Amino acid sequence: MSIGISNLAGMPQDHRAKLENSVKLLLLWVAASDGKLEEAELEFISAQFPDRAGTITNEEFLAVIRGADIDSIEKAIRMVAAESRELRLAFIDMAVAMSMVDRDIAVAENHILRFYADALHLGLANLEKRFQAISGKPFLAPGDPSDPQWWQQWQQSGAHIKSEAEGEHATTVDSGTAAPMSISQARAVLGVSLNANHEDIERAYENLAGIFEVSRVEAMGAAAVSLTNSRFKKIQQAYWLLQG
Amino acid sequence: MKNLYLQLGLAPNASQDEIVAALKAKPELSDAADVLLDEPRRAAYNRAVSTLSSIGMLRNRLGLDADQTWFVETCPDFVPRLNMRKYVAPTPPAEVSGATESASAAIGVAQPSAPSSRNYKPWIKAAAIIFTTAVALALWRVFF
Repeated sequence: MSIGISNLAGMPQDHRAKLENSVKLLLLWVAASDGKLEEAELEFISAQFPDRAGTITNEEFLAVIRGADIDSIEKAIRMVAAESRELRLAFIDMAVAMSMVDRDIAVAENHILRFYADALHLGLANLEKRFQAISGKPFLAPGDPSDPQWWQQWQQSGAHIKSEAEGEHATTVDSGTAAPMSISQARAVLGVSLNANHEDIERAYENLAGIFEVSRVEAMGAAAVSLTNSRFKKIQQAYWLLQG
Repeated sequence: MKNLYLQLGLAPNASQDEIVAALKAKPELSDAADVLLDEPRRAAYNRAVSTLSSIGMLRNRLGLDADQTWFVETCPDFVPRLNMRKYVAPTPPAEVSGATESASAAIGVAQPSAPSSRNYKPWIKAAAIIFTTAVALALWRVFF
């Protein structure tokens, strides 16, 4: 199921460039939809602007996304929709990974994922399956921020997550340039529960290593490869932390 | 998710005063005060509104909501075809029609039916009669 070198060579150059830009734009839309950028999102974004690495500001970046009109997003999604089923599934996996960066998937991100699944002829059932495989959690209905009751629940759960993260702050691992990771973050990355044993962790790691495999996304260009690589590094880091 | 701005007949950048006035005019939407009059909540809500508006337009262009889909069911305010009249002709807040209708009522909004006989201007009618007569005469002379 991996995309071989011969396939890549057979693909016309301008088609590849267009597909790469389309994938980049669609992933950036997921990253920017909640109006704030997390560290991993910034990492992905600055990799897309190599000449300005580390210097591009949130405001500048959000301006780039606002400049992306409906027309270019429509062109981009039609472009990806015309690709093979394997490639469309690999794209959805990347979009899910991008949405998981904030731990709690935001309302806008949830809707964008649902839209991508429909527009790419994969459907909600496939999205739910991919989300469960990647995060270890069910894909829930989007929240309703037009309802005051939703805000009350959100505030309660938000406070809960914050105190948990602070409590485990002491347990971190340092692996080169990557940001330190807490035990609870590592569990979230691997999608395993509190009472997961060594075998569960092993299985989750192998499953995710197969999903975030560079050969699956090579045809979508450098942006997809860099995102998949950084996700794989994170999975590896989480695995070392939990098994070490 | 509801589009509170659409239901209140407001622009998304409406001022606090405008929101308060619109809420007074529509007491059935008074819950919206807890979202729209709280700055951080409103900012987050506005981002969701802007993303859902884009998704609604894109789904419409790609023909994804021709039938009853999850999007039509949960976000009817963001389905352009259901809100066509509201989007095309923005009216002053007091005159927005159908803003209090429920989602299911909004889905049943009837489009104005096309007039059965067209009303052309008199000079067009006269020109058409003269033209038809001339063609008929010419044909008659050719064949008979």
